Amino acid sequence: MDFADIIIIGSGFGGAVMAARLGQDVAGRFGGNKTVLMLEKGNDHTGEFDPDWHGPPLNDQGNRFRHSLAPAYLADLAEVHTDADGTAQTGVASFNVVTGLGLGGGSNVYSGVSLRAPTLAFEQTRGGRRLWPARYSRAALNPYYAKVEAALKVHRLRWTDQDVPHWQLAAKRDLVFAEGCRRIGATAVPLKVATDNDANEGWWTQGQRFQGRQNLTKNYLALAKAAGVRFQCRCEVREIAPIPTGYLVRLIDRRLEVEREQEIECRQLIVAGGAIASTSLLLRSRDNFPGDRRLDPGPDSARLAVLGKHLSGNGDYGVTGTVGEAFELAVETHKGKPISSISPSWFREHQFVLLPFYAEPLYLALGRISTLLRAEEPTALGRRSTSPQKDQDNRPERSFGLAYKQRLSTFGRRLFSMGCLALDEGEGEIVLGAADDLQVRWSETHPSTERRWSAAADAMRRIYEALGGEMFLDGYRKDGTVNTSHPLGGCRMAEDAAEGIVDANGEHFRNPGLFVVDSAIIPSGLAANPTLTIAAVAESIAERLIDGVGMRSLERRLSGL
Amino acid sequence: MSEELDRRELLRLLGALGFSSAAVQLGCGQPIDLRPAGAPQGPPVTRRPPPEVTPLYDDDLETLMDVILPSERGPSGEVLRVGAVEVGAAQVLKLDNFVRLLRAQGLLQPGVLDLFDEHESFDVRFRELLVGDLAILAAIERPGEAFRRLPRALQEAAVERGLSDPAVAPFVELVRAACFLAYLGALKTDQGLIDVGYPPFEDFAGGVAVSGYPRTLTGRRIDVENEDVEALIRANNWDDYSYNRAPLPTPSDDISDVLDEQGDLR
Repeated sequence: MDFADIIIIGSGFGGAVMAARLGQDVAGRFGGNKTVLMLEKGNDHTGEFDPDWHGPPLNDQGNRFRHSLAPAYLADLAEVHTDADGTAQTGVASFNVVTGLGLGGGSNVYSGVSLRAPTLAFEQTRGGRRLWPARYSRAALNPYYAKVEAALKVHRLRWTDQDVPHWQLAAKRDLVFAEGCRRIGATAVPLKVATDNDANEGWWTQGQRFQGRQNLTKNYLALAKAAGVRFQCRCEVREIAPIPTGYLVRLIDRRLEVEREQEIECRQLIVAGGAIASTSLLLRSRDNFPGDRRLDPGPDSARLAVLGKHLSGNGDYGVTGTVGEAFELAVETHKGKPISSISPSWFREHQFVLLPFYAEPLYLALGRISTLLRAEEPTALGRRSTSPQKDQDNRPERSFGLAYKQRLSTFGRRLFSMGCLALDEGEGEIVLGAADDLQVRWSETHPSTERRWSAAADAMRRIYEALGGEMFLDGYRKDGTVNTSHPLGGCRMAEDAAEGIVDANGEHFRNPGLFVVDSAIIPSGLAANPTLTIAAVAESIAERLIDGVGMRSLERRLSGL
Repeated sequence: MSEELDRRELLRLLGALGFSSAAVQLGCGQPIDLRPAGAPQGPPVTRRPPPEVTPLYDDDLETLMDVILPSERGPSGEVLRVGAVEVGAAQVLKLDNFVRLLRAQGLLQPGVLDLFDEHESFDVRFRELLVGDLAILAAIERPGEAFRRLPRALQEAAVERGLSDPAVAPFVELVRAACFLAYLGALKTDQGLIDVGYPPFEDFAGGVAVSGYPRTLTGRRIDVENEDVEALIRANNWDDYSYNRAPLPTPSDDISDVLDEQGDLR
């Protein structure tokens, strides 16, 4: 039986922070006498962390990232989780969740956007009770946000290069966005992003000049490695179970040609696989935790503390369209950072922000090709859509053939995508199917989310039209499909066990030494890109665990005191 | 199996037996208009021998792909701009995880996979089913003629009919997805992306679209460590990604109460 004092499952924004901070503390206090082990389901894309896995050759930037839309490659970089019965189907409302894969987790696919969550996000209530534990507020998290910003080299982009290096400018697409906003009475400003000394990179998530993007392997995970944390990649944890001395982790090790099962014991277990993976791991392991150690009250509970419930999509809603052919500025959306401006003009009234983003070829190929469609029925689903197009014989324009192909011919210069991030009601759910297969569900959009999305879609349509262009039909208006790349919750933290699965420190209410520290414990949508908040919450938890504030210190836990 | 697919199987059977019109008389779901698309109402006209058509492709599926996303050809048939066949749409259907990809794209309709045995090759069975559908659609446009031999206008009418028929549309949509995945997904070539306005890959074989390294306007990669980048910018020889200018202000919109000085929402 293998053993590690601390096991951290998952290497995204929660796990990486915990590995760095706990690893440093353990190394300082115990030297080499205590071990911290990080388990990651996906690959080591850098080749620097797991000496026991020999993957494909590294590129000339010293990593395995590529610019490729090949499905086999993308499957190593991200996972798409969908509904029960594979209902990601045309004409059927479905729910699709994209998550990052491999060492670095979400940082392998994120755009570096690093925003602090607004005060309002922490103050949300349900049934008269605050969703977030009392100690969390924007003001309370500010010092931890600052720590993360320093670690990730976050800085705010600018419009002009009077004071900053040229590579710190917002992209061309952002000036187009700003002009569209201005024409409808709104304002766009440059974003805060986590990059350093980069350049005019495009296709940013897939192998750009690696030094620029602040992937977690370049900061927190590098700190963890330097502190002696061990890494096992391509190790998928199937279940966990309590044992008298701590926890048992059962995994499948896929580093060699023949996969093998492995069991590792630990004293402290930190689950940090992200909202989907962490929650589904606990769901799979539920039967291992009987009686007063049960992981949740079960699906019949009327209380909020139900594992898998209350999954937020962070109000993600993306659309694609074009600016008009006569519009004076080229979008050239493949140039520059993938997301580098934001409009907060609707936040006061509707609690959403708009961001233009670049993902076009990926979006077209792997996203929803239906976005190329114009609505044949403009009032479909009760939402105003783009006008139906007619051909020269006044028939609805075809979505195939030479005319359609030629209509795409200036697409690249004019194609322009936008999205909103909004507060939502946590309408999503993570469940296990009959064969323990992971499923996500979005049963019904809450009226308040619907109002925000309708307002956002209307704002985006007005921006397109102000730029002389049009907005294409999106998956939500076409089929009711919800897509998110920012899943939050499923294993929410709360003030007490009636409201959540883990406490404000991420520790399970009934299982001391079992922590969840990642997006799964975030109890609400944020209306901002969540990575900075996930990492800041992890910094806060790590600090309290190390100092023993409000809980037994890590030193006492590992010393058996 | 769904009602639509029952109807589809029945249509296929009747079509194969040359009884397409019987399907309507049997009341299989919505009636199918057997007249060519756009044909005027009125008494039958005298039939003329159909014009000879030399098919571009020997295969009905490839022909369908070319109808959906056509190649553009010169006078002697040379390809001036690629279409779905040239960018490898047929190969996309053979990808092991094409079905998974379709799920992610939301392009699988209920019951479609019921027609497939999990042990058989998806693309072989798919081709078999689709070619049967195309035979029916072609027969509706011009009895006795293969889809690939129809004039382009009738091929397009057949595709349009297929897209509007709930029993056939899921299959035509899958082909459409394969066509656009091959064209815009840069699986075999970046030519489709170039055609719609994107720059060529810097290194297609190496999978590098835009490496992120700065370049001159002529495409030369700049060594930022050793070259005078500022001089290149001053000489306007920098492949700029920014307009390097601030937008005009929006005086009617005060965002100071929602955004702080650091650029975060308050």
